Amino acid sequence: MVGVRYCVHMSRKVAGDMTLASFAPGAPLERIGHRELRDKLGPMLERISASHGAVEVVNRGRSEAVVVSHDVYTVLLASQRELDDVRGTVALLLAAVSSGAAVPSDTLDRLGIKIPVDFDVLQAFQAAYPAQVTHDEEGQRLGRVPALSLESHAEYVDEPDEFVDVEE
Amino acid sequence: MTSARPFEGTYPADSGFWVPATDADMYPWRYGDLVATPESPDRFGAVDSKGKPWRALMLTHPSCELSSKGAPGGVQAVRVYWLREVSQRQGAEVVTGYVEVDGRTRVARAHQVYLAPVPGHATLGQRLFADLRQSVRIPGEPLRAAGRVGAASHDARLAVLRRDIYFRYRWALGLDDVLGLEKLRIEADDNFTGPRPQWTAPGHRGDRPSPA
Repeated sequence: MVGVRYCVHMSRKVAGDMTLASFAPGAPLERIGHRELRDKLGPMLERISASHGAVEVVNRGRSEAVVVSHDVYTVLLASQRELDDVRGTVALLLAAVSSGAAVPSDTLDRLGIKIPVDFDVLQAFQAAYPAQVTHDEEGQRLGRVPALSLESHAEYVDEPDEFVDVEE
Repeated sequence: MTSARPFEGTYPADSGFWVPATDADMYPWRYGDLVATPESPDRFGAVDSKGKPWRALMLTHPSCELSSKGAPGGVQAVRVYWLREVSQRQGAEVVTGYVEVDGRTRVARAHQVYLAPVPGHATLGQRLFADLRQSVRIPGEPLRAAGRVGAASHDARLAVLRRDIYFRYRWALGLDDVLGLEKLRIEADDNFTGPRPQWTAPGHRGDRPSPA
């Protein structure tokens, strides 16, 4: 039985064993022609969805599209975002190491890369380096802040409170 | 035209954190300023569990110039520690405001705000941090008597605001967003006194928040 987990990024149910490992680069995909796809569209989509797979759509021998299940698409998007996160974090760690800044890092600790803590160096590094903080303290992805629409208003001047007697 | 951002990280460089002492009189007391712990701090709860006075206080309310507007019951302030009172690892997390875990960069110590050393100060001339969770309300008079130790630069105030907003509401605003908001606030304040930040100067690019 396939377990089910929730993808925290997309809030969609995805199969517990859903990974992209079965999509090795260069590995051949099942192929289907336009006409066949049109004739078997319903069953084909059901099969792709159930198998968490992918089918290459060809037209006169030329590859035109790849149809993937929604699960696969969801994982692809999440993977791309995680790759972006890791890319940003790796850049941060490389910059920190080359600057001798002891940025707090579990990965550096695990790799045995010990940088003596020099708060002067660390503070100067953090002030100059635009680290992209992507997750909260518990490891959940930070929500995107919508673009702010700023309007200028005259500042409200606080007036003294004017309390009145009320019946108990 | 000046650059859009006064700094890139969580906090400005130490050298730009506090207004130079020679200029501080031009700046009214504001949110983010560092104030000495007043006499008899136990009256206000500004003592630790052993009854010892807090190292100092960071002002958190009113958000504008103190005493320019009504504020019931005095001024809100939070506890300030020496950075060396926590482990080196925690100290590093306070200084950066983030930590790397499993390839991701996470917010660290959201309730703690790094404060630079105050140049030349006997006890506060070392790295500090404020704890936004430990707050007190103190009448203005004893605070004034205790004295301001450091006037936060406008740039440092951006960092403190950004940290405070995340701590209170978990809104992960970018520095550009906070700068844009603060710029508008200052421009709309007819009673604003003291030198204005350079990013309120005409032509500065930091007048629009970054896209999400």
